[in-house]
Amino acid sequence: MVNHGTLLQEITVFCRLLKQIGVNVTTTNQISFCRSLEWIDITQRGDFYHAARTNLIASESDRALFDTAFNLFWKHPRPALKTLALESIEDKPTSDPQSFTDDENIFNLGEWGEVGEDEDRDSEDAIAYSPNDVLTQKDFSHYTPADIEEARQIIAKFASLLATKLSRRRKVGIKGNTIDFRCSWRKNIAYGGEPLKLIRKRRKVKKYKILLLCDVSASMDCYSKFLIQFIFGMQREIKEIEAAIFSTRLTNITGILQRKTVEDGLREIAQVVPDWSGGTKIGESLIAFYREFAPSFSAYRSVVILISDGWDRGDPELLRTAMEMLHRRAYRVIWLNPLLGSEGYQPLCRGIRTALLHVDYFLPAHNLKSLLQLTKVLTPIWSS
Amino acid sequence: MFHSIQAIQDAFANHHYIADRALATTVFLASHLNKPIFLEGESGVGKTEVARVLADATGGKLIRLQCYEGLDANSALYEWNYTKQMLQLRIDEARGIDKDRIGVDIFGEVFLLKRPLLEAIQSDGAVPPVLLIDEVDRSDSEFEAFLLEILSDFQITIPEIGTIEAKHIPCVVLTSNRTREVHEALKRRCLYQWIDYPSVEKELSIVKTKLPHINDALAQQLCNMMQFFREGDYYKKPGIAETLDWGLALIALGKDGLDSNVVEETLGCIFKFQDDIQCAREVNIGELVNRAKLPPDTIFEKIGDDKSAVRSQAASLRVFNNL
Repeated sequence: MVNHGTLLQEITVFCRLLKQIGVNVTTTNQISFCRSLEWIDITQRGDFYHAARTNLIASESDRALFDTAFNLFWKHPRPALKTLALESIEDKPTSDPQSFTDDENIFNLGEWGEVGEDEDRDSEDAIAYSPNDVLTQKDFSHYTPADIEEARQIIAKFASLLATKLSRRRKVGIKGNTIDFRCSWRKNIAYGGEPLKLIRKRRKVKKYKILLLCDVSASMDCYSKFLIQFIFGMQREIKEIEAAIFSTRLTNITGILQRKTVEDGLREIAQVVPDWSGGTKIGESLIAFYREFAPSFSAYRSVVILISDGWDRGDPELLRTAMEMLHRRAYRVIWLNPLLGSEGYQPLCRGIRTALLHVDYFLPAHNLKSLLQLTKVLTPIWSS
Repeated sequence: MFHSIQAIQDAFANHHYIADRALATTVFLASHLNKPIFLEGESGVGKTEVARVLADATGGKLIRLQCYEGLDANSALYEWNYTKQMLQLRIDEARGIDKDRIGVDIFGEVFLLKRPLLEAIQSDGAVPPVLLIDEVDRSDSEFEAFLLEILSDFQITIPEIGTIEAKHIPCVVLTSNRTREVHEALKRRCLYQWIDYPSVEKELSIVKTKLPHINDALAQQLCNMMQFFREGDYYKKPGIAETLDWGLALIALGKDGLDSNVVEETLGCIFKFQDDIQCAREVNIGELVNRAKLPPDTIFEKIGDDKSAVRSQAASLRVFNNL
């Protein structure tokens, strides 16, 4: 083992810096990097950099961060990091779509009110798209029990369809359509190798976690009765569900769903959500959604359902990036669009068009009937 | 075994693969630290080729495991040849062999069907084999967990036979098209390398090594055009595989240079989606062709710089905000 002396210390500090800025470096990676140094010529800056990079990052998205940190840290003479931080805040670039600094958020908060009002005026056009049979009244606490029961059944069907899927993996058992030779063979040793009992296998049922994200901006007003029913219905049927609603800002309503009866929940949501019927910023909301739920995501068993009409006031580029991030983290992304229910509608909004590349299913859902049809359409695709 | 990073670059070049310093460093370190290599990048940039060339350069055997959803231990590791076992028993009975001895040896190696992972571990050639685990992102979490175990121990336990340990630790190359994020734990076990679309210069040398009969002017125009196409907003940007296909097509058509007609006729070599072809038809191909014919140093001066400047600016901002 080469005695690295202070170099080892430097590397440790560097790895700590990386961790601090959000690059997840493990001790194993650090050890592996140190071992690498025995093999390369560390006087060659390029080789040292490549060795560090290949060991310490595990995703291309960390690359830019890593490069900056590397150039900052392995510089002679090295500037004190604290002063560097101060300098940079003074001359930081103003237009940077990727960063969400506190300043920017404050700026946006001030603007929200205006955007909302603006959107209200526009929303009349949007409503013109909606089919006539949908109630436009916002007071969703007046439901008859019969309504609720009917809705519950339809939503239950839809929910149970989405929450499970036949896995490609197989489970061994008495029933099934294929024979598991491995197990049958073992079982039949007791009968002298005569295949008396056949063990079969069938496809396992895989359970999915549902992440529900619902647009409640002004242009979606006429669907809100349906949407709220939908969210509650889904929550009743599926154990693992997280839900959030947004117009300009994201509100996580998972907690409310879990402890309230429907009526109480409706009332509380109306109170908690500050921007009901506001403007729409899908991109920002999706990023917020991603940040809030990403730790609980599992790429293999999360299904993201986005309910929105796609009328977006935000940055279309941001929407695209957000959808791409979500798509990569989720098993399937489903976009339910109420407007698809109206004849002649085409997704021409630039927001929707860019985002559609990262959506697995783009489907209509404007009332319970459409949901019933949707279940029928989706069943063969989903269970294949 | 390679002695320097340069040696790897040379060996790869001998096998018609242009490896940049970063990739060569990763391969070099992987061979000395016995760590798997994790290659990520868009499709058609030559990830799988790395494994193939590595096998050729070292003289090791290439063992390939293609991943898919539902891939299980039976198809990745080993399986008993049940039919053969069954027949062996019948034969033994018919021969009238002593009952105590029937079926004693049906769990021998003769009855074992080796799947890629077992094959890689059991391989006993003079040089370690190259195990290519292709498109890991297509498999599922169960398989990733299973891989984690194999890649850390390089040993396999078969209940009927015992534990088999690797004689040589194989060079493992995992590739991913990034259709979904592969689990962090698996990536962290490996040396990570992102393979990007090549620069014009790199692509030009790739074209010239892979298609030795191509004329210089055509090769240059071809690579310039590909760079223009990659700048466009297409659903699936063309990779190097497409460049080479297109080059072959143009040679077969007997072309010495590009013109807008031939580009339009051969768009199918470059784009594999009807939407993309439609989209490419809408841009002014004639103008692109004219631009592609300009001397290369006048075309690509600024593009690369701008992109990386914006990227590093964004990154430094994040660094400072977190300090």
